[in-house]
Amino acid sequence: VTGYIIRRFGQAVVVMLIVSVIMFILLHALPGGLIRSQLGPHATSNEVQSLTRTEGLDQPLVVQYGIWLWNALQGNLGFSYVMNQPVSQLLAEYLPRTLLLVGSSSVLTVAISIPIGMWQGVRRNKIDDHALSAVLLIFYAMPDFLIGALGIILLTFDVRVLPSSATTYGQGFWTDFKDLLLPVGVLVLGNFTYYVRYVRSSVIDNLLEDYVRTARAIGNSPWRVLTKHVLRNAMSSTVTNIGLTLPYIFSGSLIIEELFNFPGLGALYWNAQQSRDFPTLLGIVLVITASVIAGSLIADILYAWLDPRVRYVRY
Amino acid sequence: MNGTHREAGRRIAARPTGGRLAKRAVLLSACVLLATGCAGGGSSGGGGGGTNGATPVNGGTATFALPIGEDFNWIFPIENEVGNEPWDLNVEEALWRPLYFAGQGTNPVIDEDLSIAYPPVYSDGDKTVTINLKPWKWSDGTPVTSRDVEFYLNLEKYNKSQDADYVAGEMPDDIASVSYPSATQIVLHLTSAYSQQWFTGNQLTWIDPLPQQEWDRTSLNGPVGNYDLTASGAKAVFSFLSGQSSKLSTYATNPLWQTVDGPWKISGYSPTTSETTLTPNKSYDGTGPKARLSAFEIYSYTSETSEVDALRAGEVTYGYLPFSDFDLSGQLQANGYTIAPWAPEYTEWAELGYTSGTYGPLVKQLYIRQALQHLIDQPLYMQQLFHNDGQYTYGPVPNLPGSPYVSPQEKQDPDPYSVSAARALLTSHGWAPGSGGVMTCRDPGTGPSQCGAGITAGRQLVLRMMYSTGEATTDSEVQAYQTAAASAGITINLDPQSEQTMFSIGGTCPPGPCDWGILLYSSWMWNFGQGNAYPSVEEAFETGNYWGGGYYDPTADALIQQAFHKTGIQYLYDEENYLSQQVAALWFPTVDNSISVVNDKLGGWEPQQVFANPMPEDWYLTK
Repeated sequence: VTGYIIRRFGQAVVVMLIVSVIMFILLHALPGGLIRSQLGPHATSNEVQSLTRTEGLDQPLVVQYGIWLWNALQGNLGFSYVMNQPVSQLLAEYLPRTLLLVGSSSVLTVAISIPIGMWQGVRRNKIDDHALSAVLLIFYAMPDFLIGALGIILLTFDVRVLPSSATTYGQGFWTDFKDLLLPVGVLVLGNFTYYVRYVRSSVIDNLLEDYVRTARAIGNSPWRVLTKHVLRNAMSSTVTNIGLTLPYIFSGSLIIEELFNFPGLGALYWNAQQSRDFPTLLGIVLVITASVIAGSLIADILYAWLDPRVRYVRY
Repeated sequence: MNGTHREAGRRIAARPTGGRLAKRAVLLSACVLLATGCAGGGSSGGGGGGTNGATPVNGGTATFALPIGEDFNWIFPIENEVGNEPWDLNVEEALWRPLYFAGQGTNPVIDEDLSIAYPPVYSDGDKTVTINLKPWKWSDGTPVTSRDVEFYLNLEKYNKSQDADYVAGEMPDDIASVSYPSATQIVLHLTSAYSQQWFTGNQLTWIDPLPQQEWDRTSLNGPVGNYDLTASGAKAVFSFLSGQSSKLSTYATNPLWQTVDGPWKISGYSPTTSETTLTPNKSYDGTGPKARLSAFEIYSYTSETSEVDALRAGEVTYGYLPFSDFDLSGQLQANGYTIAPWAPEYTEWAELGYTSGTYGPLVKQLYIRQALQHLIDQPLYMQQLFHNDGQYTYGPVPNLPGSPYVSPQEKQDPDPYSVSAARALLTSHGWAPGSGGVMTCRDPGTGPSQCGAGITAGRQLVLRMMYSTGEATTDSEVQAYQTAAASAGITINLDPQSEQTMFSIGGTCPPGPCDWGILLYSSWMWNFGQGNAYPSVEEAFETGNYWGGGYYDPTADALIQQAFHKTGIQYLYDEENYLSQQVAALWFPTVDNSISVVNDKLGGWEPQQVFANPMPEDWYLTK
């Protein structure tokens, strides 16, 4: 397993480097230049020249990338002149909030999806299965921002129990809890149907397998067969899927954070791209890339843990 | 400092305002000259507000929604490029009052009540300015003295390159020497004579007395000294204070920022959301109004949707309605809000590409500029696109009702909408319809009835028009303009770009070639405010400018210099009249800053300040 993890980690590093090179080139190719975007169009030529030297932008692009990479490896991702803070500090502030949002919604999504999916798998093609599928299909077809808008109309405008935006996030546990409820709820509603359908399908497939018949034949109760044997097998492919859908959840959180004014990485990204805050953009892209790769890596490891056959596969 | 140009954000922006005139004589003479309603300015002492006579109460919290993209993240009152944003300035001036406070209600003049100094006295042929301070105290009980002004001027003098507002030749370069005869008097000796209106409105308004007794130090726990008196000391102090301003998480706790002379103190700040809480400065003894609310909270939003949602949920006392959501105004009114357009001292124009190799020869011709101006249907745009929430614009000075700075001539449209007039101008200068009806030069040359220098025979009248996307009203406006131009035989090729790209291209030209025929930013081009209250526009149209597409005209330069150096509002009129007649830029109607949405329980918010400062010290809640 250790060798497997090391190989996967090596691949992850290579992917990170490639992504950073592409991003670096793309950002430098945008019209107007980095300095002008940082200082604004009104900056004097003296200011532009001064910051150009300070940031090393008078060096060849390869040298600039080398400097940036060297600094990044030491945790220095540059300074955001728009936000008036070091990028690493910004990421340290905003990333945990997004991880809390994405993490809690992902855990809830899985926690809700598995029992519903299993239940649907067991009750496959019965009327309750069809009825539930129809309801889930409605949520499946709805984009996150629509669910969010409906949530605001219902819970903020009509019932007035939750805030429409997280403008005061950070004031305390109860305020933060209330600020998180709607965004987390929307992400759960926007994603859980996908997992339910996946779990349902996996359960149905597994219920038809020989090992299930054998388990039943040796006297296991239906509940034990379902939870001890079917669930574990069904989960192995589901876990992989969770890792693979992390980019989707991250991009979904961008929209949700913008909709609910939630101060996470998505909102930071939104503001940074609006103001062409390149150092921040580069930092966020790197973090998201790293997170997605890490998610995929963790999923692979979990998959290997759930399915012992995987760890012997060599690439 | 002159020239608060466009900001990356959009509407609502700009800088604070207040109450009465610093240069009373100037205003009086202006009022006499114009016979305009000086009462339109409104006093800083608190206006009406849509409370329908309800009983005011002291205390309570009011919340204010910032425009999208705006936040408060710079507290030190000498701003770097990043901190030089409207909302940084608005909050700073709530904490530290400038020597002369620009904006008196809806009147773009100095508010004497809110200013720390009495009106300046000019002498020696306008080369000497004497400033006398009012009795005014810091929140720690010490008086505001000339030493605090000296402290500011020294920091500015030795760190001017780090001040975003610094323009070579202007403050502090235009001050030859300063003397401080007493604790309440400052005498500025200028390098040459300057217009009193310009110097007061655009130079003295920069100066913020700063608490020398607290801030003249190089570390938080270090002793207070007189470091600012030497260049190295002033640089060290400036560096320390700028560094403290970069520590966002300490804004509400850093003792430095608690010594104020304005009506508010900062008591809460979240670097996460930029949520800012101001509470009354209980020691405030200035001549302006004291805060009546117990707290004023400022919220930032990442999208207009979330801001509108917050309004609909009743979470904001004073917000705004995007023009695209104008249909919600009835619903909000039914929910207890008042809808009120907010029209600050902004103006809109489209730059012409004078230095463009391709389009320059065309737009350098006055008759072509006049023809292009004739095709702007301002009444149509105002009625159909802006719901009449805007101002007709015929020159560089904002055409606000009651403004003493708008010349009688600039109130009239010299080139009203007329396709036939546009065609007549072209056909009388050697142009005739060619292929596809596009005007084509048939008579090249520089004679009075010929196409003009640099325009060859067969040249078609085709212009590239860059404009910023993201505003539906601008999209509609340029499309209507394109259609009108086509009727006159002018082909306008629309080139939509993001606002940031526009900055990168238009904002850096000249010196680079301005490779467009017309360049239009949405909403507004120029905003005036604190430090820039007198609407001279030398930075836009004087030679070497970069907000006029490279406009160059020696007559305009001479008029601008005259308005710069000679006292009298007539010189400003001469300048603006000439630029208007010459169509130095294409004058488009200026849309209002925003449509304010104000909870009916809030009073004192009217008149809405001309430099887009909400002036929360005037606000009160009602029973």
